[in-house]
Amino acid sequence: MHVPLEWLKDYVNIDIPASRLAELMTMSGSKVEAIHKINIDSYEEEVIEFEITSNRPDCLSITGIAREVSATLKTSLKLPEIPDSLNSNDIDSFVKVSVLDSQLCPRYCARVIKDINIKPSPEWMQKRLTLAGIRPINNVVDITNYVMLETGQPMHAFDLDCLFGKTVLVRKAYENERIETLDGKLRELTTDMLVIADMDKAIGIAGVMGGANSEVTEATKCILLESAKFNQTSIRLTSKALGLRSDASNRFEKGIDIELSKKAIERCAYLMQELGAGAIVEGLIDACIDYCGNRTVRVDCDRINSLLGLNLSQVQIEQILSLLGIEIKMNDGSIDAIIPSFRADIEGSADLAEEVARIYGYDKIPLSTLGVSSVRGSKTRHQKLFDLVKDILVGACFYETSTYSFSNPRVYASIGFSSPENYPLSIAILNPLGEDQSIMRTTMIPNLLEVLSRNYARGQQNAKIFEIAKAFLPMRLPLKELPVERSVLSFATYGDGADFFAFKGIIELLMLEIGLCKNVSHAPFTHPAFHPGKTAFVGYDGQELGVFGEIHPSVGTNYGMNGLRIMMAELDLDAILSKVPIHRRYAALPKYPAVKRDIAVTADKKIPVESIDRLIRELAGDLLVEIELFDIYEGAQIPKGYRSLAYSLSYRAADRTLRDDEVNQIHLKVTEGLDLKLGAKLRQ
Amino acid sequence: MVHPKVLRGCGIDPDEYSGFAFGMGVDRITNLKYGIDDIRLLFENDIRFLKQF
Repeated sequence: MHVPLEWLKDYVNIDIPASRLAELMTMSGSKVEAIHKINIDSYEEEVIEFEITSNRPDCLSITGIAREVSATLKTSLKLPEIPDSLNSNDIDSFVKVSVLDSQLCPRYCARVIKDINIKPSPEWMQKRLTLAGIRPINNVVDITNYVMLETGQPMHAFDLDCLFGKTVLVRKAYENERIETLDGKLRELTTDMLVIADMDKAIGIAGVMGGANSEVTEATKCILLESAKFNQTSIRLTSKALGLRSDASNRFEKGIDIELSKKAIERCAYLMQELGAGAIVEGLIDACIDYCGNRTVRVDCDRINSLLGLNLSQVQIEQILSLLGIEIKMNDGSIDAIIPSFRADIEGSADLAEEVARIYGYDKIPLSTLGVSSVRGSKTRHQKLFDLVKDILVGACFYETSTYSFSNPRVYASIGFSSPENYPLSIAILNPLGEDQSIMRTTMIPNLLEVLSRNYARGQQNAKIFEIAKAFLPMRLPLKELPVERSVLSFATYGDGADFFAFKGIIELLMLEIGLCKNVSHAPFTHPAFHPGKTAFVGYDGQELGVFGEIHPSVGTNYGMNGLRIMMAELDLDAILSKVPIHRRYAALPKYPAVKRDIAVTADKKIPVESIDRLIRELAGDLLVEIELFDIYEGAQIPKGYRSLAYSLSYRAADRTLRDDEVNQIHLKVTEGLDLKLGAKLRQ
Repeated sequence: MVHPKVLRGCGIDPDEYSGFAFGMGVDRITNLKYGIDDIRLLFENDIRFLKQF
């Protein structure tokens, strides 16, 4: 709402500069967006732009703002005088009004102005309208707009001679009814929309926009003034359905003060005559439903004080409320507040407390601490495990990143998915901000690649990053139930130390540190984003955990990291944490010494080390307490396609010192089994 | 202070309980605390930035 300061000062005393006024108004609840300085006729005029919340339609008018200013500054309010009109039937020979739907139109006031003299409105009015953001057109239209801005009541003027049958009907639209609105567009109406009509056709869409067929023109001799209250919801729905918003519809949809309709039309008629636009026809048509006069809300002063943490007396509270036009009747410890018709937003004691607080001044409420004892929170086990995982990775020199949950469907092509049929199912967002944020991410791979890419472009030689975040996996599309939200741990590196085995080591370090002591299994795997042959599927104790490997070179190129070796892992953190034992159990330290044996076998390269590990453990049984691969050798002395694996095995019994011959027996079993089952021969 | 209508809507008797709530932009407070001049830095994940914290 743009309020020209000069106009505002017509209704309230303001002695302080606009900037100070803006501060005070913002603090008392009417937020100032900006102060505009506009040059008109070589004067610099100030216009204060207020942001009015939708619960305060009474502030969508200069006088409404003036009331707020008067309460805030504690200065006097001078509202325009509205002369009482004479009771007369003169108007009846000009027009009749029939409201066919009083639910949708609780009040319809009409007056007639004859001997219309269309010309530009006075300079001062044009200036005020312009500053307030409304274009001056002619005196009749300008006066209706002026009264709307001044009082908050939208007004409309019809060319009375265009009305067929000298009758105004306020009715719902007929099936397939159409009307050309003032903006020249033909509108299709539906039967739930309210229209203003004559005996023949619709002449306006009630509360939204007038019709072209009854528009005031240079030739107009006689006008009908309309000042009405329409049902909020109906106006809003009509406005939305037609995609048509106006200053009028904006006010109607927030709710008009029913008493305002009559006051505003009297003011409008008065101005029409005063400013020479025409001559008043005596009489007022007022089709109004029965409504309750004054609403009263009873409230305890104690309640207000306890809600606010203040200690105001009944008198102080009464004084503050009366500044806002809320009169009080005292009643023992409580007060009956008489709510004026323009404050439909005040319903109960909390609302009155708010009025008291904001006018008294929120900044004047004394500070105190929360005196009550409350429940203390702490992190859940789940949260603590997350923290532990983060600490471990930070300890391994990874930096935690934070990327967006929304993604672009095109990332799947960038990370190597060959065609849209293969893309993972992802949830599309209604009304996305852009294609870049049009789906919910199902994988962190593109996110990390983007971060790496940005850092690489900025000259970062080495990068180690990780993120713990949610991926959103729909069970089916369209969504019939909530998607699965999995916590994903993803990490990536390029630069020094970015190789497959070092990376694998990080995963094993992580598992170890969070308390998973069984073996992590790896199996060769294919995934479009990764280099075939350098990708592994990670499992633990029968649980699938995720994938890691070297990013496919063409994916790297897609992200501007041509030729750079990038390692990445994406693991299901929920799955990992589900395997973490609730309590660690102490394992007794060994009492008896271990017997170490080294063994080197030559095996086909295609056999994964893991299989050999597993077989050795199987064959050796419980007495094997440790197995460590310490060398892999290919080259001279080893047949092509084969490699030599050197292990260090430790045998130990819990209850006795193992004898050499015991160990030899087991060791023989192992070497024979390796040869038999995997063709892994002892190296000579 | 939570409006009594909201409390009632959540099945809480506003005559027995009052409530208050507040919120703040975590990233904005972070900017203020560390003197960061561009909020986007928190989401760019430039390692030279991450390193500082």
